[in-house]
Amino acid sequence: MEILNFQFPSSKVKARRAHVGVVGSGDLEILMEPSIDDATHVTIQTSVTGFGDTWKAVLERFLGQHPEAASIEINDFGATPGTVALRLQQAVEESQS
Amino acid sequence: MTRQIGTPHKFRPHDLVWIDDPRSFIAATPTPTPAWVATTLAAELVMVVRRGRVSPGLIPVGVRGSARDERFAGAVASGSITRRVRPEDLLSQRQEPTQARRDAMPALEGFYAVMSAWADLNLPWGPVGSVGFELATGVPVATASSDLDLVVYAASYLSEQDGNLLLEAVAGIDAVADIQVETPQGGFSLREYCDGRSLRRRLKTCDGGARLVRDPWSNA
Repeated sequence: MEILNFQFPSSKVKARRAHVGVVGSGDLEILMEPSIDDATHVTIQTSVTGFGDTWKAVLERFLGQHPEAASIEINDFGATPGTVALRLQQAVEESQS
Repeated sequence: MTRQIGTPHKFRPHDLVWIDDPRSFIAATPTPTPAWVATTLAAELVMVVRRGRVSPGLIPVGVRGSARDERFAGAVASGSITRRVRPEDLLSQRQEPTQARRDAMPALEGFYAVMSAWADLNLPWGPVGSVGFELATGVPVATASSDLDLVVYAASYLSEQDGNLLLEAVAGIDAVADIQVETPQGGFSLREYCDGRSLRRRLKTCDGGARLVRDPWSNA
């Protein structure tokens, strides 16, 4: 078990709260809420240790496309980077729907 | 009504297959094959059919080691497969774990509880993951913290209401039940399908990828 924290500068305000994903191996749960400052805060709790750089790269890529300020809580059960990216996209869709 | 689309081969993801010779296994990546793969295959020549794109005549498979991160992808020629056990076969024929083992592993015990709870279910289903592997091979891979991974084959539409009935029936077991529904288009999480949160949900597609879809039975 590892807990990672990241903070990124953001420019826009995020719309609504979103909760996506599944508690189960190879998957993850994401809780996304509007952030009250001009930053995106990400907290990741993961069952797989040693992938901090991979998480940072996936998040940077995602936030490059979606610069909205948000508090993102991730509960990971060994999802692949592809699954993480898909779930982040799903969270954005849900927060805008 | 969704039309049943024929699978390119008769093997489906989650099936367990036994092969004639360890040399029939073709590694998916050119990287050196880890030592545990040979050790595992020397003990039992069994692999799990996975999702993925391979050449015609080949079946995408994975070798399952004893540790959680020991998974190795490859392929086998369909002609080298000598035996196949589908998840639903394990409802009637399996290597029975001892009662002591069932008592120690909530996922194993949970499987027996689900068999009673879903006795009237008229869709094919069965255990996959560590529980399915153990019941098929007798190799004790389930642990005290294993999820109970199950697959339900729904060739045509399953309503969220019916899905919720399935989830409610397994809510009482001690292990986490992770239920995957397989449609002709791919597999999705029943829990996600029924939680009503997202318009588009994750579908693991037959080529090994995943996408967000509104209707897991539609090709669109």
